[in-house]
Amino acid sequence: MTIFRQLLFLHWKGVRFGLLPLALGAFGLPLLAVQGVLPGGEIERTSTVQAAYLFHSLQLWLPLFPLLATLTGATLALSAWNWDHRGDHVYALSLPLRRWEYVLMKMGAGILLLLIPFLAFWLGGVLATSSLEIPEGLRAYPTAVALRFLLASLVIFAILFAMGAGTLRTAVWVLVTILAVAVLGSSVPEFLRGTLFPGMPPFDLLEWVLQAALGWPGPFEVMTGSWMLVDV
Amino acid sequence: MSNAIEIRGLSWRPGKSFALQALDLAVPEGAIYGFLGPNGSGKTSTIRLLLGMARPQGGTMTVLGDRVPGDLPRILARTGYVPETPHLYPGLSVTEVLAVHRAFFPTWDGAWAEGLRKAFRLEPAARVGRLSKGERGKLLILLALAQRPELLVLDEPTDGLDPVVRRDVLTAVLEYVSDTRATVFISSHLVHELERFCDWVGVLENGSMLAEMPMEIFKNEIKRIRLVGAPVDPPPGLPFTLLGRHSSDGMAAGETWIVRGWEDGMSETLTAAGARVREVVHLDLEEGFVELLRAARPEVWGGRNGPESGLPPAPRTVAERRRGEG
Repeated sequence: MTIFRQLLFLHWKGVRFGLLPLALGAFGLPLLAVQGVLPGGEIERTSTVQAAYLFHSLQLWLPLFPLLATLTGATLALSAWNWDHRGDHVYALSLPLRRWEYVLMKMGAGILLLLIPFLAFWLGGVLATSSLEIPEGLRAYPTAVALRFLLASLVIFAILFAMGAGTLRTAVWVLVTILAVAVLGSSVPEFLRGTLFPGMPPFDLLEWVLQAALGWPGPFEVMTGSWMLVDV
Repeated sequence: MSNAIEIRGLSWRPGKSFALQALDLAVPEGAIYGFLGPNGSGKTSTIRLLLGMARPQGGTMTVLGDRVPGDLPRILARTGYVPETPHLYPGLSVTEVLAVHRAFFPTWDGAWAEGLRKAFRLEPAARVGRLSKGERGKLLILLALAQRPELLVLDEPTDGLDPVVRRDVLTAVLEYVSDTRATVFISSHLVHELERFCDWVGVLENGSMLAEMPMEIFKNEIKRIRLVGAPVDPPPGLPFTLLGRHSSDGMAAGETWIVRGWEDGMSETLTAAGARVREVVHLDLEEGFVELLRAARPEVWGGRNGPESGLPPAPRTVAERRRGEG
């Protein structure tokens, strides 16, 4: 536990200046999203008009929610390994810990720090929705959206944390592989269809991979699902 | 006496230009072992392999009786390590570095760490990133010593430090060793520095161990002999090892031989071959070290006797030399 506390402290020291603005953003974004629909506006609204107005206002801000979650996950993941890479991992490797223990504790520390922007987002969402006059038939989902925010940050954090744990060479290989799949996956089937197999149905590997990743049960579905703070 | 470090047949090739080749090394328990070698000879690579920071292609390693890499956490818990390049997190203060480090080492001696911090004049609130090179060197030694390790592995710990800091650092190490009888494995290319306090020495060159022996033997065994009338071909059955030979500047018909294993009374062997020994010069560690390197790779280190000279290769270790003599 003492070791974990020190690793948490190290991560906090390394990321605090990046994490605090993100936490502030996470707190403020739900409030900004409902700013245009706060009570006291000049327009006399019926329930239907108010609902449409609310949806429109929220949708304007929607893309920023997953973007902020991505930024949060990425910041925490990359900062987790920043100092280790700068010291060529020598310090970590000279500690009397198995590598997997060190990595797990580091990951745990990162996940714990993710709770700061999550709580800020949740608090912002609760404040934002409680200040709204929610039209009949609609409900506020601040906790569900905050959990989605946490999950989205966690997915990005886990992927980048795993990539960051390796060497720069590993990261380059992963990126090159992704790029190669993207390029070859699109061009090779098209080439085969145009030359050797004219009867082959059209197939785009990149499109297939993207659909698998972004749709249910892909890992990034959490990004593309509903981020509406108020919904039916 | 058992060995604190034992390496057998260690091989590692990280790239095309460098390889450790079947390296054997033994550091007796309680010894202060100077690991000598020019820059790029493989000292840091050997240490990194020893501490499990890289995986060798072959060979076995044991440290404090435990195997590398299987028992690494046990080994590292009992080993104080000072790396060649400072690796501490620059954003931490001295106090924070100590607090973080102590969490990993149950044997940490807080009172002594504080005493060392004061002795080294390290400000508790000073950021690591803003410490001078000397202060960082002292902080690294402090961390390694306050763990109360059974083994200290110091990789060029005084490289680039001024003489005052060097003395502070080495004094702290020696005081610790005299109190605890811990083993010290110290790599350096500052030969004269090691000569003062090491009792064992190993010389590494281009990934191979050239020699490994007690310091006293090393200093007493390698000698420079000035000869007149030296035979063109070394006579067979010489009782010593001829490492190199060259014409002596300014001495008509004279030659200088660098030999190992010379003892009083051996000049008669040369007299029988028609040569006359004019002078036998005792070499200190640095001179012996340089002559060893010259003999091993004359094309690199400037000796005049290359492999084509027909001289026998120098035996690599005391044990091998004994086997050769037997």
